[in-house]
Amino acid sequence: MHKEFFQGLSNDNTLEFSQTEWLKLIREEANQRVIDLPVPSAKDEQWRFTDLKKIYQKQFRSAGKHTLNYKDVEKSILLESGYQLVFVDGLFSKQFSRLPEPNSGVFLGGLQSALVNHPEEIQATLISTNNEKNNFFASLNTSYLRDVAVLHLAPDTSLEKPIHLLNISTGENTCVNPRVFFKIGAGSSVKVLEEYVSIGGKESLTNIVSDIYLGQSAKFSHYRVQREDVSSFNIAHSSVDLQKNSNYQFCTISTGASISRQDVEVVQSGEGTTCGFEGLAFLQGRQVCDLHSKIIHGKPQGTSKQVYKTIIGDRAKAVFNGQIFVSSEGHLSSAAQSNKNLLLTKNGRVDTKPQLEIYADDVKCAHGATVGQLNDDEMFYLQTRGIPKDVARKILIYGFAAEVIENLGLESLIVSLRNEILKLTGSPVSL
Amino acid sequence: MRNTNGGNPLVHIDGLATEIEGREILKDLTLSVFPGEIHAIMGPNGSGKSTFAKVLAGHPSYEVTKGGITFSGIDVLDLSPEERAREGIFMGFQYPVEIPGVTNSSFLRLAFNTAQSARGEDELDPIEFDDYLQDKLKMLEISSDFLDRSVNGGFSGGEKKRNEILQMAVLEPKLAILDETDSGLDIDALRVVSQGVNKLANNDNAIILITHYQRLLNYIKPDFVHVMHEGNIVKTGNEKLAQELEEKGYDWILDET
Repeated sequence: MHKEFFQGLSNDNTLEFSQTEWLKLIREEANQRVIDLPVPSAKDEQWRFTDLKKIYQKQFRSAGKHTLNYKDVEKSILLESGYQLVFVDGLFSKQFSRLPEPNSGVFLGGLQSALVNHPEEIQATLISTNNEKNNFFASLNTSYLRDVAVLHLAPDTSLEKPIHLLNISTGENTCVNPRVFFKIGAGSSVKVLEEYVSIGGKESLTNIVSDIYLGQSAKFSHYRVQREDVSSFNIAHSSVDLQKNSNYQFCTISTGASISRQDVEVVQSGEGTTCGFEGLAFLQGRQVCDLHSKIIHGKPQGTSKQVYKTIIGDRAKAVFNGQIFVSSEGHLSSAAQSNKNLLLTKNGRVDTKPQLEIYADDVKCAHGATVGQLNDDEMFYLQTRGIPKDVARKILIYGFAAEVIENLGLESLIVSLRNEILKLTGSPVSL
Repeated sequence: MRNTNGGNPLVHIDGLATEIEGREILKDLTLSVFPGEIHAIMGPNGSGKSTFAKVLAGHPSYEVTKGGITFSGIDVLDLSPEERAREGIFMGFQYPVEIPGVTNSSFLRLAFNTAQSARGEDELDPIEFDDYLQDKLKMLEISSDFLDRSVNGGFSGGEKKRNEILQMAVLEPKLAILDETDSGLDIDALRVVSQGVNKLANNDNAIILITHYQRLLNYIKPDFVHVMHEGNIVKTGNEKLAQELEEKGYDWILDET
């Protein structure tokens, strides 16, 4: 039994939606699953390389009232964001958010107002994920659900400015269960930065479930940045459904948390969809970062391109399990996957498992994984310009990370990540 | 010939032999280069030309098993590549490395200032350095948007080679070894790069051009042409030797030796 870690959590029945019947029901069901299901362990194939003992040894509690004021939050807000949706310890904060006008075709908000504005869709998505995921952490999320971050974009609605979904953790030893629901209507386009940060938060567990749905020909650029305190734990499940000709561009950046695990499943359920999947993890100390991704080419003429990079220092560990699955209907699919790991120390570790599973003809698929140290010839190039070896090393590590960051397309996010990576690498030069 | 051939050689390579992974690449190679000279080293693939360039610049993978390299009177064999660079040895790469996320201008300034401080001279701040750079850009006919791009990132072959020459112009080395600077260049790019090299050549520095083809030597006039084969210089001549090679290939020399 490893289930003491969440026994200290309480179900907040004072929340307004607590009395909504169907919600009550799914929470109770989820609660039963949490009791019945075994916690993931190294014996499970899906968890072979990521040991959660550190989580199971803790005693988490529910978050109390936070004491943040806008000044604390302001510096974390993406400068160019048009709207911002802020959650503190898993609860929607109206005070810190900037939301669109009602009836503008853009709904952004927490569960309470979503239940008023889009009740059927909320109900459908919470029920379907709940049923589909016979999964301990997803069930834990539903069981202790306090709120949902909702973005609902009506058809043919395009936002120029990005939306910032900021999740702030302020507590110590708390467990919060953020829920995310994005529905991008047919022909609509939007950019969202989904970010997890700690402001005072320590040794906390953030356990996220996300459901993302792109309507026909929708375009969604989704940036996920996890930079919680290095004592924290971050577990995330997301499923993404792509309708015909839609285009999903995902980029995940991880620099925080002691253990972070992300499961992303992208299903191309319509013809001619596009999925870009980029990622970077920068790990130090004893950090562990595990990405499990599955891209399912379920219909003809889908393309996917995945590039995931990690930098591993000290005694850190990176895990990548990337599956590309082309179903028998996925004719004329094209998939490319690459995983590049830069291992800086001999005590660091990488477990990588790229997988291709193809059941259709006429497909173009390529994958590859590399684990390597800095290239001698590249070091030599910098040294011949008079740059000392240790500095050359820092510059090249920075460059490895920069390749992902500089292409993000959100200027102030680029600047802040660039500064973070500069600090981590000690490189004296940048862009 | 521009130099008087008086005084000491800038670099003297004496009976040099090197190995990589137990394989001998250079064998008993001897060459002296004086200030003001341009030497071309030609030879078929696998003759050891590029190895020679890397060994001069101090590549750590090559082990010198015999002989020595004296540069400006000092033994450089024990010096790291960065120390050699600060002494004034520059290598232009056949395949310059791309460094994403680092602008050309900040990279150049770092290299320049590292050398300045090693010489005990003042470093330049970004504004002073920009002035210094603008002169070099003008001289080499390079547009200044080059500076804001990441080092060699997405550069064409020709741009990469021009960038090598720009780095050379900024660092003002005493000895530049240009490894296959002409490879992959079209005629226009070749002309621009060659003009750059010609502008940088003076009576105090020396250039070693490593090349496969004679066509580079239509643009840069060498004082000496050496032919390498199996890790050694097997023939030395002047420009005419290069023309002969162009007409007859390498075989006749290899037969001779």
